[in-house]
Amino acid sequence: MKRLMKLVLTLVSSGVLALLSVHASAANDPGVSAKEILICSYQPMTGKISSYFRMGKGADAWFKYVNDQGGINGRKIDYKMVDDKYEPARTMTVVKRFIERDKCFAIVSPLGSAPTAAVIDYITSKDVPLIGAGTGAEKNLTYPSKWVFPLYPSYFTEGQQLVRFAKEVFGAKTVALLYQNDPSGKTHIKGIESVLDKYGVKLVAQEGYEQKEVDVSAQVIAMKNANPDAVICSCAPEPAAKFYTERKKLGWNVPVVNVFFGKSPKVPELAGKDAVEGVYFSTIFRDFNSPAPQIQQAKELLKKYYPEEQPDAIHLWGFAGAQVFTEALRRMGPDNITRARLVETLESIQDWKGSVVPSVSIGHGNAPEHFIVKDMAWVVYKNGEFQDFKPPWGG
Amino acid sequence: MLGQQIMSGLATGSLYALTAVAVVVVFRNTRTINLAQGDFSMMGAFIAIILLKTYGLNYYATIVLCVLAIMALGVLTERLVMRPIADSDWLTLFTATLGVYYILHGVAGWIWGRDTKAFPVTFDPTPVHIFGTVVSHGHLINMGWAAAIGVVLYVFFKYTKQGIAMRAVTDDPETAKLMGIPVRFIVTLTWAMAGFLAAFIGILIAPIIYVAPEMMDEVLIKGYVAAVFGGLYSIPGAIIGALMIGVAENLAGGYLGSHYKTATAFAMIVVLLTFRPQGLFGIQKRREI
Repeated sequence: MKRLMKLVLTLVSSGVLALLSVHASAANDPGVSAKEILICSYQPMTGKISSYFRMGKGADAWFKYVNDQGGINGRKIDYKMVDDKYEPARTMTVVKRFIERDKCFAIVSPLGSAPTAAVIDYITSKDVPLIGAGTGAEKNLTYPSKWVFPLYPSYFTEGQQLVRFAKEVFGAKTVALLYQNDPSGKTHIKGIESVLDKYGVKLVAQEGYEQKEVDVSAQVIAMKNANPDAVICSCAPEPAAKFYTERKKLGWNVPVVNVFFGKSPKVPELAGKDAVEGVYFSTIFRDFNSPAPQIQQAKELLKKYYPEEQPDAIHLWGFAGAQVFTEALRRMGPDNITRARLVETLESIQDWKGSVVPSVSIGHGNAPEHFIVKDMAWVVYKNGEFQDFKPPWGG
Repeated sequence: MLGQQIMSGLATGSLYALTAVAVVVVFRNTRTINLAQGDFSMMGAFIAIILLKTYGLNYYATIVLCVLAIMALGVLTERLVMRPIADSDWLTLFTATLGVYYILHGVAGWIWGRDTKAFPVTFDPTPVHIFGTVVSHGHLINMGWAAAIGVVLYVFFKYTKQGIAMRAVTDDPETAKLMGIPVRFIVTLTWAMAGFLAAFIGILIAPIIYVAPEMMDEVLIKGYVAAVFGGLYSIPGAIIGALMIGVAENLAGGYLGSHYKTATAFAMIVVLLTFRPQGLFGIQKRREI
């Protein structure tokens, strides 16, 4: 009888254990296995703005480091990056494959305003978290969905701050704008126009350029002809370099403030240090010269996993999203890894100082409450390096 | 502003001009629109970076080696890809060059990475003042090269034995063959010439537009449009077409708005082909039945 009881107990307990394990694995969402979590990212790995692929490399360096440390709660991160060439139509194909074929758990640290604007409806309709996308386009940042966690302040907000900068740092009454003819540039325009009256600044010229344009001389001449007190350059590194070269050629010493996504060592490398001397840049991360241990760690990891890379702010975009994601994953524990729980856990992160962002506090709600980075900072390129700059209002 | 826009347009046009000339040279003798022409230049630019930075060669030695390397690339393309399908229709030939384009893109990205790179030798940054306008040394040198190469090629095709042989092959390959002209050699020479031009273009243009696998994509498109504009057979036509496109783009960008800048070249070609299908300097050929 005792033996029979033992047998029954053994059978029942193993049955319960089996059921529990089935339940545990069933409780995990797609992309999560016992040993791995698949997360995905679209990146401009090739094409005219492939310098932004640094974002993917930054995230990848972090995930490689995490995996080398044994992963998170026993699971390794499988970070799948696919080239979309910054072409929105291609991004849609890539993302559909991520979600429908590959079963990615989340999209982390992808890049691009236009690509993200093209796929955000689809991603959120499938209840897939979109974390730390490198975009400042309004649509992507104000998206009414709990699945979206924007990385940095909107281009609208940045546009407003750029006008303030031109007014209070340069004393400008008139400004000209050179912008990328895509959602990022257009959102900057909206932000700039929204505060012109407030700061008593007049926009005397606004010149767009296409990403693939061979030169921007026509635009620069038109801006010079409008004789502005300052120029706001909503330019990516390569076009920014072309602008600074052209500005120098024309002997035009107008003060310039460049948007943060153009702050890259590539700009002085391509245009020459002289052409960029004295140009101000907005930025969202501390500079790599910062002694903060998180920044120094990022520098070390890049050196280890991408030794050919020159550390750049864009790498930090990737680090930020990836670090916040792994922190949430760590807090979630080993079981019940669902997308809904990921969102809840991300929303519970408050004043967390473990990433390249000085402090991360994520609110509850939709995209506008979910920003990973909330404030702009400023630097000036002087004597061959980017130096911190404090505007009159503190910044 | 008008003068400066025209001068800057000429400068940009000169970037398109040399590529347009190369497109014409290949087309004249092989009936092929060489989509890989831009990538020959790109390979030249990357090889130049290696020679200058890694091996510390001087600029002129780099040009010589680079020209030889890209001429070899042109000849290899002809021998390995184009010759086996030489008798195919134009679409097959065109598609083959598209294949070469993608292969070279891939190889360059694989070897040198996708990142944009600065060219180690830059032109004197001091601007030059001409008729109250400003132009950079780099663009001025490009304009000079475009003009010089145009003249040299004109003389070559007009007065040298090889040039005349090339023209004969262009006009009627069958008769040229019957008259003892080594057509195969002429075709190989054409691809070598395409490589020669491409290497120069790559080295000259790299300091201005920077070096990346896709650096020549836009230049090739505009160069092709310029070649069609000039009539596809005419070297002076290609150069004039390129300069006109550069100026028109800049004027449209400066006066109509930057949004019209990129579309201008294509609008120009549509209008021209509507009224003059053979291009600006082309000769209308009757199709024989």
